[in-house]
Amino acid sequence: MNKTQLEILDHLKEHLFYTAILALTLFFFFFKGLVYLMIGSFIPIILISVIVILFVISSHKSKKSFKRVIGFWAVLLILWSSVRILLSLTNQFVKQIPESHVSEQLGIFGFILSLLFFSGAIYLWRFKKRIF
Amino acid sequence: MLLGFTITACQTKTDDDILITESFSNNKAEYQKTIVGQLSGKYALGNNTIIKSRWTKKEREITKKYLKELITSLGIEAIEHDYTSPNLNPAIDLILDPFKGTNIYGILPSNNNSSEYIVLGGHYDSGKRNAPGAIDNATGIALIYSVVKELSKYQKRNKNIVIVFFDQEEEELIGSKSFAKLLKEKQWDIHSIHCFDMVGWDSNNDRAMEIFSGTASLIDTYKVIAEQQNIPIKDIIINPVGYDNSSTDFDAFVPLGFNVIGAGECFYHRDSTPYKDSPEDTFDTVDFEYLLSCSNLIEYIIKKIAIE
Repeated sequence: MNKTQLEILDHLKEHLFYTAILALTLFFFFFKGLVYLMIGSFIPIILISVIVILFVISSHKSKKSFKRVIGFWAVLLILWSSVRILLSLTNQFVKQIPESHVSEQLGIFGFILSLLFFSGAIYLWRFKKRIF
Repeated sequence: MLLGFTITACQTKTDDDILITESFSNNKAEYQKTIVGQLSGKYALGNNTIIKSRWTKKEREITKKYLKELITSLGIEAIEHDYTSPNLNPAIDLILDPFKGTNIYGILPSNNNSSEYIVLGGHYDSGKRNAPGAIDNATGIALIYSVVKELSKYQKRNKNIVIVFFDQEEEELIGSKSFAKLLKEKQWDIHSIHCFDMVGWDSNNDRAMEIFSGTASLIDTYKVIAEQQNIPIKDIIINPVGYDNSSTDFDAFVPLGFNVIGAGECFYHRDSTPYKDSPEDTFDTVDFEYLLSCSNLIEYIIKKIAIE
């Protein structure tokens, strides 16, 4: 580990709640990527691998670039959760999605999950400046 | 939240209960009515369980249990084929979880240790929320059950018979596509696959069945026996090369090179239920005489193939 990485690690240790949110979002998509990898779909694991690589590379460079990657990840999460929230609301109030497996994922539990990710992403975005 | 826990607790209790509490009549027409009625919410099952539709995961779970009991009642071990499958568009994999479902199948062994298999399949899910799916496809299940029941009494079976009920046909044939892959993995010697979808509507009373296949020998067999039974056959010959269609389970087996034939009421020849995928696809709209006529025809056909 270089000096920048040690500094980033110290910041992360100091702000455990922030670190936990970041780690949980990354782990969620890593797990999703693994599940899809096992059934022959590569896009999710490619996406999360790119994000992890970006985090690693930026941690070598500077705190500023690490912060930028967190911002990028937060934006992706906001997009992901917004799409799901919109689909859930459409499914509930506008027109029901005819496919059972889609409709069930966008039910109340799916909606809460999307909302949690949306809140987590906003939190990651807003507090990145304070932490780094 | 308390209500949620209460509902879950009640549902868990019914999971342990037996659904088919009374043995079926020996009369084919009678037990077919019972099966269609039980699958489409007309008749209650054990513990007053009613299958109003087979669309949601919970409804399909109950149906799965019912079908396992149905197969077991034939003296055949019911096997669950669980599968997980990616979404059709890889980009959707980023947004949604994969498809998860369960096909139910069993094997009626041959009487001569044959390595060949005849597969009889139909889907058990229904097309939309609150659609009872009486014609689509409780009738297909009743047909397959009756054919296998009659074949189980037959002592000249020279081929193994696989009975299979597919999950998620209404969702891009996910269940049958997974089963087609399973057949390839198992490397069974598949003689032919026969898929039945919607066998309960005959508004012009001509008893005609529609068949579609790319295998000439199967079409010939169906036509010859139908002619003997004085049943009109309306055939659709497909070209398996470059075949890319996703309407019914039949379509899942064509690209993998199986000898497959699909049969049912005359959907493409415009004598088919107008209530497909709607809450009106009920028990009362089923033409049970037509179902019986088709079942008898398919029984003759499968018997002929099984003794070859």
